[in-house]
Amino acid sequence: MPTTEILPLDRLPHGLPARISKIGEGRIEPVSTKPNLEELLLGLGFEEGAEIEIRHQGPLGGPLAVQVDGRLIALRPIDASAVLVEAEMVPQDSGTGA
Amino acid sequence: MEDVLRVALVGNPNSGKSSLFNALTGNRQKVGNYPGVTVERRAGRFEVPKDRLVKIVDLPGTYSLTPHSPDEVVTHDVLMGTSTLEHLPDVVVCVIDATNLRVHVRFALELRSLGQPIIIALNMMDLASRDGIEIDSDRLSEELGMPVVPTVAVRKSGIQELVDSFDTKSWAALWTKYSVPGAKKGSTPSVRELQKEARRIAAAVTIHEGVEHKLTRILDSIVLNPIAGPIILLSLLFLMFQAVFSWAEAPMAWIDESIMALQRLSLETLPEGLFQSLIVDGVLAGVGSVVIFLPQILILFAFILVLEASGYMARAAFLMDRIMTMAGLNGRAFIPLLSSFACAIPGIMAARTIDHPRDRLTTIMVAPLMTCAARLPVYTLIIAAFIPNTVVFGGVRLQGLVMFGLYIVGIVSALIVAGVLKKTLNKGAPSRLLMELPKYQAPRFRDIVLGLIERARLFIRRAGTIILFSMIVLWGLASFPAPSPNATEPDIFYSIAGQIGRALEVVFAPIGFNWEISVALVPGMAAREVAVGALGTVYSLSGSEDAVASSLATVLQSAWSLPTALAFLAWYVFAPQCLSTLAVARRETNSWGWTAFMFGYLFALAYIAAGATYWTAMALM
Repeated sequence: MPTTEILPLDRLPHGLPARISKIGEGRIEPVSTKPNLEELLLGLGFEEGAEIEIRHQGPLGGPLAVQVDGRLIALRPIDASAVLVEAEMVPQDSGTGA
Repeated sequence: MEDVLRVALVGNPNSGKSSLFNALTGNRQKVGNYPGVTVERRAGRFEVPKDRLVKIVDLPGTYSLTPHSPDEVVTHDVLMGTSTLEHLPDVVVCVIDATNLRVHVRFALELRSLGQPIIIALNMMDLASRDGIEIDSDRLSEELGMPVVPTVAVRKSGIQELVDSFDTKSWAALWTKYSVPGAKKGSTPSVRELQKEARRIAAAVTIHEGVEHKLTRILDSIVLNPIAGPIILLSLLFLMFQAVFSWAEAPMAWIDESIMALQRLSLETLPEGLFQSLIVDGVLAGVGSVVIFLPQILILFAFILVLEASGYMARAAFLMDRIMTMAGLNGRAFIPLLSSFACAIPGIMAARTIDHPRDRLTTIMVAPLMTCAARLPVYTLIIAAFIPNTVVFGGVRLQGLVMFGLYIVGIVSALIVAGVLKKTLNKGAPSRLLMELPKYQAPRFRDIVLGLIERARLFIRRAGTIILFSMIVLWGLASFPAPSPNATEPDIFYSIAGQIGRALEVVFAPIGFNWEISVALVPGMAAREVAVGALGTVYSLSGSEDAVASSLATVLQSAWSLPTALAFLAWYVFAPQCLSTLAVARRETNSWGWTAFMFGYLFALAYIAAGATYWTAMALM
C-alpha cells in the first residue's frame, strides 16, 4: 500500500512525481540568510501545490535539476531541503528477502 | 521639437528580451539563453511617425522586483524611479515567455503594482505553438488590464504591432480601468497573493496546455547524465580547441600572404628611408602579426555563441557546479570564466550575475587565468615554431594537444587560486545556485553571424587603434637613436627599446628570457597580442630585409632555444594581464587593493612558472 509522505525535496527519489507542500527554512547555514531563499524559490515557480519531480543530479553529488511549473530549475541539495514535498511512497519492506 | 518617448524593456531572464531589443532597434549584439546575458546597459533609439523619437532601454533580466544581484538592483531602481542612471520610463514593455505563462504573469502582476503604463510582449509564440500551447491573448489583456502584443522576436514578427502600441494614449482607458485600487508605487503585494492570481489568470487564458518539450527531455537525459554529461562537456571543449587550430589554418595562410605582399609592395614603391621602415617594419609587421589571428578568434567565438544560444551553457554550469564549489567558486562562475577564454573583460563583467559578493570577487580574481583569445597569437606563434605537428594518436596532433594542455594549466591554476583565496583572504559562507535550465533551441544562423561580425569589428578596431599605436611607439623606440656607423650589434641593440630591454633583462634573464623578449613584454602590457607584434618588430628590425619576408616563426626557431620558448609559453599562461583588464577589475571590485593583488599574484605566478619551466627544460636537454 502506497502511503503519502512529506519529506524534504533533496530526499525525494529521482523520477517520482510529488507536490510541493510547503517552502520552509531547510538546512541552511546560519550566515546566508540574505538573499532570502524562500523568495527566490517562489520567484522561480516553487509554489505550494505545484507538481515537482527530480530529473537529474550533477556529478559528484552536484545540484539537482527539478521540473517544476513547466521549467527545469537547477538548485543545490542544501537549498532543496527547504522545499517540503508530498509524495506517494511505496514503503520499503526490509523484512522480506527477494 | 521632437516628442521623446522613453520605453524600458523588462522581463525574466530567458524571456527573449535581448532578441526583442535587437528586433526593435536593429542593434547588433549577442543573443543568449543563459540567465543574465544582459548585464550591461543597452539602449537604442528610433523614429516613429508623427515626429516621435523612441528611446528604448533594455533593463537587466530579473525574476522579481526584489533586487538580489547588482543587475536586479539596476532594474529595480529604474522602475521605482529612484535610479540615477536612467530616467523613469514612460512605458514599460514587459516581455513574457508564452511557454511559461504562470511564472511570467506573476512578474507582470508585480509590475502592475508600480502603477506605470505596461505593455505585454507575449514572446516566443512560435515555441509555444511548437509545444502545443494555445493562449487567448485578448483574454490575457483583459485579465491583466494591459495591452498584449504577441511576438516572435527572433523572427521579428509582431514587432511593428509592438511599436504601434507605444502610442500610449489609446490605452489610457484600459490602464485606468484596471489599475489596482489603492495600489501605490512601492507597495508590492505578497508573493503568495501574486502567485495565486497568476495561477488563476494563466489557467483562464490557456486554451490548450501543451506538452513538455520532448526533445529537451531526451537531450537532457544524455547531456545531464552524471557520466555522459562531463564526457560530452570535455569533448566539446576539446573539439573547440582542435577546431581553433585546424579550421583556421587556411584563412591564416591567406592573411599571412596578403601581409607579405603588402610589405613587398611597400618596399618596391616607397623611397628607402625612415617612412618605408615605419610602414614595413612598424605598421605592417606589427599589425599584420596580430590580424592573422582573427580566424582563430572567430572560430572560438562561434563555438561560444552557438553553445550559449542553444541553451547548453546553463547545462555546463550545472555539470560544473560541484567541482566549482570545491574550488570555492559557483557553477554560475562557469559562464564568466568561459567567456574569459575569449576575453577577460566581458568575463569579469559577466561576474555581476553572481549574487554572492565573495563568489563574485573570487571569479573576478581568477578570470585572467583563463586563456583569453589575445594569448592565442602568442601560443600559436611559439607552438608553430617549436612544437612538431606530428600525429600523436587517432588523428590528434601534438600542436593541438600542447595548446589544449596550456588551456588546462590555466583552468587548473584558476581552481587552485580560487581554492586558496576561499581559505585565506576571501572567507565567508557558501553561496547558492538557483537557475533555470532553458529549453533547447536551434541557434539562429543570423544571430550567430551578427555576433561574430561584432567580435570581428571589435578586434579589428583594436588592431587599428591600440595595437597600431603601440606598434608605432615601439617602432620609434626601436629605431632611435640610430647606431654609430661602426656598430657591430644589430641596430635595435643601441635604440631606446634595446636599452629598456637590456635593463629588464636583469630581471628576466634568470627565467631564460633574452633582451628581445624583455622588450616585447613592455608593450604586451597594453594588450597581450601586442607582444607578438613587438617581437615581429624587434626581430625584423634586427635582421636584414629578408628576415621581414620570412615568417616570424622561422626567425624565432633560430633565435631562441627550446627552454626559452617553453618558458615564454609558461609566462603567458599567467602573464600579468593587459591594462584594460586591470581597469575593469578596478571598476568591478571598486578596490585598488584587490586590483594590485591581482597584478601581483599573476606576476609572481608567471615568473615562477616560466623559471620552473626553463630550468626543468635545461636540465632535461
